This record gives sequence, C-alpha cells and structure tokens, in this order.
Amino acid sequence: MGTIHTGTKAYENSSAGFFKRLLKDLAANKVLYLMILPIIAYYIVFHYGPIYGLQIGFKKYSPGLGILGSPWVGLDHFVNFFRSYYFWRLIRNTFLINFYGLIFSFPMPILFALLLNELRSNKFKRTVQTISYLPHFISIVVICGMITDFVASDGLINDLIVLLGGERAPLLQKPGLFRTIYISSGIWQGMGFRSIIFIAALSQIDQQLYEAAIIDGAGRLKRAWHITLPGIAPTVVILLILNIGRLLSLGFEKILLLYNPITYETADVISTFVFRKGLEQYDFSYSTAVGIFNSVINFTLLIIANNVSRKVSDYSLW
Amino acid sequence: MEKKFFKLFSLILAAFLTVSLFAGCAKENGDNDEPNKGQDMDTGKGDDAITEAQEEEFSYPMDTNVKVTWWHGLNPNVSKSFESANETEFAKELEKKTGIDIEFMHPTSDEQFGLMVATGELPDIVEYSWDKFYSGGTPKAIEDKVIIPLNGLMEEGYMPNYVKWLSENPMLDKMIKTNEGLYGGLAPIEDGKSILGPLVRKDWLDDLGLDRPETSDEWYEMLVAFRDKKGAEAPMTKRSSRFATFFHSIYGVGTSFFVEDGKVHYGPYDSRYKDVMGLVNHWYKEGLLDKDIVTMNKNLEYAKMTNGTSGALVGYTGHISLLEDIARETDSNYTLTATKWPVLKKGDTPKFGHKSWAFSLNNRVASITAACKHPEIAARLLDYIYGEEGQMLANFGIEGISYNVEAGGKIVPTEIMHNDPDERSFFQMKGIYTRSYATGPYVRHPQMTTFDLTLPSQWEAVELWSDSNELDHKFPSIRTDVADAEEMGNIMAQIKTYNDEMYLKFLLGEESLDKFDKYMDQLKKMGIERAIEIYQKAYDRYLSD
Repeated sequence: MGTIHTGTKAYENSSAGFFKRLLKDLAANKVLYLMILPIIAYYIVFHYGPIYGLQIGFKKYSPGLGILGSPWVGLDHFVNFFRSYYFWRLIRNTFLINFYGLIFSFPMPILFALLLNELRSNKFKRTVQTISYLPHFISIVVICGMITDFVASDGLINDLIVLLGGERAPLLQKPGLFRTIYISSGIWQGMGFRSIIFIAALSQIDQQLYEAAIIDGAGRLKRAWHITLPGIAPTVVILLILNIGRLLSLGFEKILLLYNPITYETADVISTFVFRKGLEQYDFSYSTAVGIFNSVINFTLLIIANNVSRKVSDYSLW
Repeated sequence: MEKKFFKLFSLILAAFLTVSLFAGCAKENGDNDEPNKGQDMDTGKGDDAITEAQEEEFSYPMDTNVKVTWWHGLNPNVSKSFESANETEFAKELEKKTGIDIEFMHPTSDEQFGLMVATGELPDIVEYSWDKFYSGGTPKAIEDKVIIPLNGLMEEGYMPNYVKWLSENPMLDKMIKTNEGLYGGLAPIEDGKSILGPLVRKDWLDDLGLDRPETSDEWYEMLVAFRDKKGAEAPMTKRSSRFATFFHSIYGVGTSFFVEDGKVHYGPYDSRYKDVMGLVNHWYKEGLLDKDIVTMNKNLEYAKMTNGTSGALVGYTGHISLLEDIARETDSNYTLTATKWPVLKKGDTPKFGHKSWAFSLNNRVASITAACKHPEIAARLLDYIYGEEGQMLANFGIEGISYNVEAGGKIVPTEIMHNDPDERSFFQMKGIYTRSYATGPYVRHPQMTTFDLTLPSQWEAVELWSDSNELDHKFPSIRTDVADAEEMGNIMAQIKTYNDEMYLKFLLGEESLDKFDKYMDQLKKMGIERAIEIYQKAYDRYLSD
C-alpha cells in the first residue's frame, strides 16, 4: 500500500482541493466507502425520499390527481386539527404517556445494569441477562395478547388481586389504569435489552479506579456513586436527549392493540388519532398534516434538550 | 491472502445489500407494468369485432381477441387454492361463455391501489369502493378521470342485463347512481337479510321450562335464570360493537342515522337513547352482561359460550354450527337457537334488526377505468354476470359440478362441495367455482342462504332475525352533496369518537345517566344538528327524484 501524500499544494485552491482529497480518500478506502453505501441508500430511499410526500399535508390530496396535481389548501388541515374538540386531550395524553415513560422506564435499565454489575457470579449474571432480554424478541402483537389475557377479569393479575383481598375487575376498562399497564409492561419488555448499552459502557470504566477506591476505603455505594455513575454519564445523557427528542412520537401499535373507547380518555394519543383518521377514514392529507405538526414539536424538543445538556453537563449530540 | 479474501467478501456483501434494498421497489414497478402489457395486446381487430357484433343480433360468446384486465383483491378463500383468480374454474367458465380473454390481477397490499392510480397505469376493470376509500367518492373518481361513467355504454345497449335489473329496482337504482345521475360501476347486490342476531342455549331453556324470549322483560327473566339456576357468571356475552342493535331495537331507536315519518334522526341524539342506556346499565350492574365485553375477543367469546359461563350472545349464523361442534365434544345436549330481536311489548315487530339495503356504499363496485381501450367489451363482460346465466355461474358455479337443480327448482350443492378430497372448506370450494364466496359484482340469488347453510336451525335464524321493519327506518345508502361531504366527515369523526366513549361509559356506569342532558348538549356543540340537516337534505332529494 502506498503512503498518502497531503502536500501543501492541495490546500491552495480549496474547492478543487476538496475533490482531490476526496478522490484520493476514495481510492485509498474504497472498500470502506462501498460498505457504507447500503446505509446511505437506505436513508435516501426510506427517509429522505418520503419527505417529498409531506406536501400533501398542505394539499387536498386525491389519488387520481396524484401528489403534484392535487390542489393546495394552505394550512387548512392544521387549523382543523388545532380547532378539533380533542386537540388538547391528544396533546395531554401523548405528552403524559411519554413523560411518565421517561420518568419510570428510562432509569430502569440503568439500575438494572448497575445491579448486574455488582453480581459476583458470572454464570448467574449471564443467565439473568439472557432471561431479561427474552421479552424484547416477542412480537408486540403477541405481547399485547398476553397483557389482555393477564388483566382480563379472570386473568392472572386479577387472581393475584383476589388473593390479596381485592375485587375482580377488567383492568383494561379502567381509564385510570391504562398508563400504568402501558408503562409497566413496557419496562418488563424493554428493560433487559436496553440495559445492554449501559453494561457495555460499564465495561469501559478503568478498573484501576476501582482498585484505588478500594484502597482508599470506599464501600460499594460510594464506588457506584463516584466511579460507576460518572463513568456512564455520557451514555446516559446522550440517550436521555434522544429520548426527549421522541417525546411525542411513541409507537402507536401497542396503544392501538390495548386501548378501547372507554380508555380513550387517557389512551388516545396523536398517532392513534392519525391512524383512525388516515387509515379508517381515508383522510390522508389531514393525517399527514398532524404528523408534520408532531415532527416539528419533536425536533424542537430535541434541540432544546441538547442545548440544555450542553450548558449543564458538557455532553451533547452536537 | 486472508486480507484479500475479506476485502472481496465485504465488497460482495455491500453490493448485495444495496441491490436487495432496491429489489422491493423494482418488484412493484414490475407489477404495475402489467396493465400496460395487457393494453398493448388490445390493439388490433377489437374494434371490428365489436361493430360486427353490434350489427347483427348480439349473443355470447363474443368473437373477439381483446384481452380484458380485471383488478380485484384476492379473497383468502381463493388464495388458499390458487395464486390468481385466472386459475379458478369460475374464470375459465366465464371466459368460455363470454368469449372474452380475461387476465385477473390482484393487489398484494392496500397501498398498491394508491400507487396504481397515481401512476395512471390502470387495468381495464377495477373493483373498488370509491365512496368509502376515495376521498370525494364516486363523483370525484369520475371527475378525476380515474373511472368512466357507464351511462353512455348503458344507453348504447352494451349493458342490457344491468339496465333491466336497475329498472326493476328503482329504489336501489337511486342509491347506486350519483346525485348527478352517473353510474360509477356495476354494484354488488345482496339480499339484505340479517345474518346477525340473538342466539340462546336451547337446552338451558328446555331445562328451565322457558320459551324463547321475545320482550325485554322475558329476556331479563331468562338471563336472571341463567345466572341463578345455571351458574352462568356472564349470562350474555359478545363483543361490545355487536351489543348496540340488540338494545336499540327494544326502544326503537337506530344506532346511527335513521328515518321516522320522513324526518332524519340520529339515534344517540334522541331522548329514547337514555332509556336504551338505562336498560344496558341496569343489566350490566346486575351481572347479566359479560364484564369483559369491552376487551372481548373471538376466542374468549367461544370459550365462554361453550363452557357454561354464558348462555346467550349476539352472533352470526355461522356461530350456530361452530359453537355446537365445539361444545358437543363434552356436552351432547348443547343446542343453540335463534330468537327474534327483542321488543318492548309482546307481539310487536322489531323496528331494527341488522337488516341492510341490498346495496351498500361501502361495497366494492366493478368500474371501468379511463385507461380501458375497449370499454364496450369490458361492459359486455361485466353485464353477462347480471344476466340469468351469469347470475347462476357467479352464485353457484357450474351445473353438475358444483351444484344441481332438484325437481321443484331447489338448488343444492354437489357432494364435492362439502366433502372435498383435499379437505378444503365449503367456502374454499366456492372460491374455485363461484364468485359468491364474498360480495362482488353479481346479484345474489334468493336461494343462496339455503345453499350456503347446512342446518335448518340456521335457515330459521335468518328468517327470525330478518323479521323486522328495519327498511322503513333505515337511512338509505345515498350520498350527500359533494360540497357537504367534507363538513359531514369532520363533524362525524369527532362525534364518533365521543359517542363510542360515552356509550361505554354509560354502559359501565362510569358516567351517571343524570348527565344525559350534558351529553346531548355536547353532541349539539359538536355539530350534530348540522349533520342531521345535511342528511335530511340528501334524504329529501332521494324521495323527490
């Protein structure tokens, strides 16, 4: 392999220089570039291509006229959505489910990883880890079928409640319990798998720090507080920012499979509303407009979270 | 050496991944090319053939070499046996009888339709529900030049059978054509009888010495007896969506829009709706209705009906044979019987009962697209099915193979239909020989019910359930003015969500019925009166035409 020369000449003309360098880099690392090609193609086809279709949110879309041919209606769909009777309820529900989700399910994998880290027996640790991953690999449809059966009036959870002296009740018919069921089942399903990234971060911490701390007489809690937590803080912060960026865009499949009209009060969120409007009533433009609104909010939240984090903790996405 | 191999390997992998990424798109493009292929073959002597045929007395089979492409969703009853409807005996017989070469095409997903329309590469015939799926409905699809109105072809005499049928059924004719008088396609015509209704355990009734209940009081008495004497924890079960008609029929209020003395009403916005909800809530509190109705699913429902937890449900004719088959493995006495829809006073005829108009706006009509080069031939093909011979083929298949006509005119399925050597079900067998495995562009034969159903108790069920005055009160399958359609959609989207929610709240007692006036006020605020006004306008025009 020849050495790469980056002579001073290359910098004289910046734009020509850039292409020259790019070509050189391409030649030198052609295999690497080729390997990233599928990823780039994926993003272009599935993530940038569809942006073109967003315009139907500002149009009165009719399949026969196509995306380009449909007439513009400006912000009509947005105004309709803002004026809709359910607008505030949708915002509230979407925000609350995600907010509670963030509070309760975000720390769980971290705690879990910390606890696993303290285990002495490697064999036991591996077994626990593997078992905790399992629910992640079950399809959401099956999970929701299981949840529905568990919380039915003659289901497992109700058996437990009766055992503890409570009364049988179909829990999915209680609007007050929907978020609890949704979030706790989410923790059960996702905790193990999401802890992987923290376990990986834990393994990066320099073992000498622990040895020094032990010599200084630090106990387990002190070591966890002063070494482990600061050690994985960058990972935690980055994931937190990313999670905040998704605060309003939760996957709607699970809600769709678990909710019913009686729990709309707490369970109906923007994406399920879009689903009913777009796919059951075939109002594509309207649901696109609501989707755009949702993305704009998410984007704003992401930027805010990132800036706050950069100011407060020095860690940020960019 | 090893390094080189690794390099080569990653190159191939990368190339493979990139190609596979585009493979999905490429495949769809391929599918969409097909309509064109079909049309390219159309060019040629088609025109001559049709003019010749017009000059002399017309008769099938036609002498033409035009190929007609026909797009419709493939029903699971067919896809179980074949990849495409082309391979069915029904299609082969239809081609033979009409002399027209048909190429059936099937979408792999619902989105494919939007794509197909957007690219303008349309097949000749499309089965689609414009009024349900296409924003703006049939009039807009015609205006957007996706499909052609059939009026010209009908006037020129290419569709004598369909024209004849419409003239014999003027009320349905008014529903099928748009407000501008255009026909968007050939409509599926059903018989409108109710195949859904109340079912109760006959063996329990006999044990308890009770007759089949007719009034709400008799129902109450029976369910209490089921609960107290038969130990049924949930005497009546079913999925909540099917509950509605049962209670509404008692008080004579529709579940949605209905007509009374020429005036349009909205069921849930009616003072009688309070009585309906009062009764439902009462029964629920007494433990007569299943506690799990909201989250009920099919398997739970079957289990409860067959293990003695429940003794009554609102179900389909198919439930009779299905549940009896399951239950009789453990209880040979298990028998289900249908009852009429309940009424308030003994001897009354139910006002509602899940009967439907023979034509529904939700059904898929067979339309001829603007891309069709030989609409006359497509019209002749579709019209054949509305003739006497075509109707028999679409309903029952081929005489001597899939059906026989007994002395006295009774049409019965042949032996193979119920006992297929390959163990396919009756409806899968219908998928091979007929179009009547699902609704489609044909007129349902009056004998279809007895042809389909094996048990006399099922025939009785259809008669009992259909014994109601529903069609006097049911809002017809008509379209609102195009200008009103969007406003109507916006109003009703909110009201539907609100109603679904409040219906269950009243039912479960989460919301007291004292708040009923507030509920009515809320409906009013959401614009229900404007919606009624729009429907009243459409109804008045329907009557005046």
